[in-house]
Amino acid sequence: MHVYLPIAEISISVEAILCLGLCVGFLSGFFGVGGGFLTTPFLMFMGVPPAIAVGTQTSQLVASSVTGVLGHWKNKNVDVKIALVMLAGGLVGSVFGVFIFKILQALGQIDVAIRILYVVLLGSIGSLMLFETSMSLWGRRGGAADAQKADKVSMVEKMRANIREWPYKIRFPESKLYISAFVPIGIGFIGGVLASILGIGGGFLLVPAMIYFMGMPATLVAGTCLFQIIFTTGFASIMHAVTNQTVDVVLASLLILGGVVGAQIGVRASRNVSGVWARIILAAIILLVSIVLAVQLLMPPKELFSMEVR
Amino acid sequence: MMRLLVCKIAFVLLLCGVPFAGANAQRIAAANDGLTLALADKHVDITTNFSGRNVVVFGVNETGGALVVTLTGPAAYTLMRKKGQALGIWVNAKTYGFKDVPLYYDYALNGDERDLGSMDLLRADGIGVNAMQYVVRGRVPSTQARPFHEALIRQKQQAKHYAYDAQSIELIGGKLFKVNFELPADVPTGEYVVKAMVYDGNVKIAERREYLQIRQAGFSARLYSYATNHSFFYGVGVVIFAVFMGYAANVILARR
Repeated sequence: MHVYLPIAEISISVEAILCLGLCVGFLSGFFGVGGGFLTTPFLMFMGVPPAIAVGTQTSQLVASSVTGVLGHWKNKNVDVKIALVMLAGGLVGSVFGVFIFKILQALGQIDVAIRILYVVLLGSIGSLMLFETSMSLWGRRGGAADAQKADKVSMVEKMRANIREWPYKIRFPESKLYISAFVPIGIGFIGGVLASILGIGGGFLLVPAMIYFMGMPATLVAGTCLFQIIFTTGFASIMHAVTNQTVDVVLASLLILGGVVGAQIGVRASRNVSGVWARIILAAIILLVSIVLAVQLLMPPKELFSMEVR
Repeated sequence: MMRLLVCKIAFVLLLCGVPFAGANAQRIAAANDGLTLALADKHVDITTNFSGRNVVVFGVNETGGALVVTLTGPAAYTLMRKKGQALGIWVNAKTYGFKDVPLYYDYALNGDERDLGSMDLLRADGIGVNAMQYVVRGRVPSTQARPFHEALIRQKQQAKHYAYDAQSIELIGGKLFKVNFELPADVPTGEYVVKAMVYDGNVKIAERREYLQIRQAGFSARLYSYATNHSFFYGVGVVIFAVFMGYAANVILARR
């Protein structure tokens, strides 16, 4: 069955979009990630213009973040104060991102830029995750990685000690932190830029950053990050709707619908798989997407020409 | 003296020309009376479940000349980009802008017209996909823009927005004709022109045109106009909707 997308002005297969939403929802339920990094490339692959894919995806992220955050909220695992400070950076980042997006669009390089950013981000995060999880897997078996682990801990400690010297410190009682406001603002800013250029929440980047740079307690990180993502992506969504008119509500509803069902299946499936293996699978998926995108950038394309109607 | 002579010659030429021009005009006027054109529908409504539609054009051709019917979509400024390698990565390297490119084009000819092999004439009149001429923005040698032009037509054809070939006009009882244009699901919206033209020898003797509105309708149209006219409230609305959907999903998840 096909449905006509009123904003994108194209007709698209309902089953394909629901299926994509299902897969992304499954990932978010299974691994606790947003899955936006898969939606945007796949929408583009299905013939949705990159601008529509990114703009619409931001509103889908609002829904999936709300679903995710409510559980954390009930368990009081959200540090609202840190989230609000991050949000300050996030909003500025969104505006900045939408601005960059417009420039790249005018230059005709938006699809290439999105691909390069994806390759760099997913490639580095994926290999880091794969490296770290396989290290911990072997470490658990052999115990040889202890020295390396100690080494890494001291490195992180040094970096944190350095960050602690930064000015404009704020106290965050919930997380028992006393750090410079620039740290959460900076992390939020990067999140905002990613949300508006790539249509991703950026959780896979923000969560490690919050752990390593801020030293936030691990229990609070996921909930706080999601809470912040709701507002950043919501803001990015409105920005895209106003400046580019690229948010398609029909496409978004289909993605959200598929995502809801997929998340349920994902949560159930995750109960049967250990955390380490789940992370290895996730790392492999992330790497695979980045490799596919890299190949697309490096291989001579079948069609050299592309058309844009203004 | 010289100037006077030129004036005299011009006057004589004008006098000679007028009867010819008049005759031609009369002939065209007569032929125009012999050609009628009508659309089964004046508009095509695109609703959420739109999956393409047929537009039926019919008319009467009493002139005896050869008939051509074209369907042309609204024109738009179209950019064609060519990829090139920069640091090993394929990026968009060269861009040409083409002015007033029809978003959609389809046409139909009389069966015998094709046999007559008068394609050159049609080409000269800009009828048919291969005859389309676009104006390139900026000063570009036409040899350089040619591959971009060809790629544009090729991609439009692949998207089924341009016809590969003319279809035939269905003749019913000699004078009554009918053409069936098939619009794809992603047909561009806007005002389309349906033109019927009659050729006699090498001259176009009659032309009639009708306009066809292809537009979003119903729910789909309301959404589109709201998203364009009240983009801020539309954006806020989408976000509120997303929050609600996310909340509902959580409630359903928790209940299980």
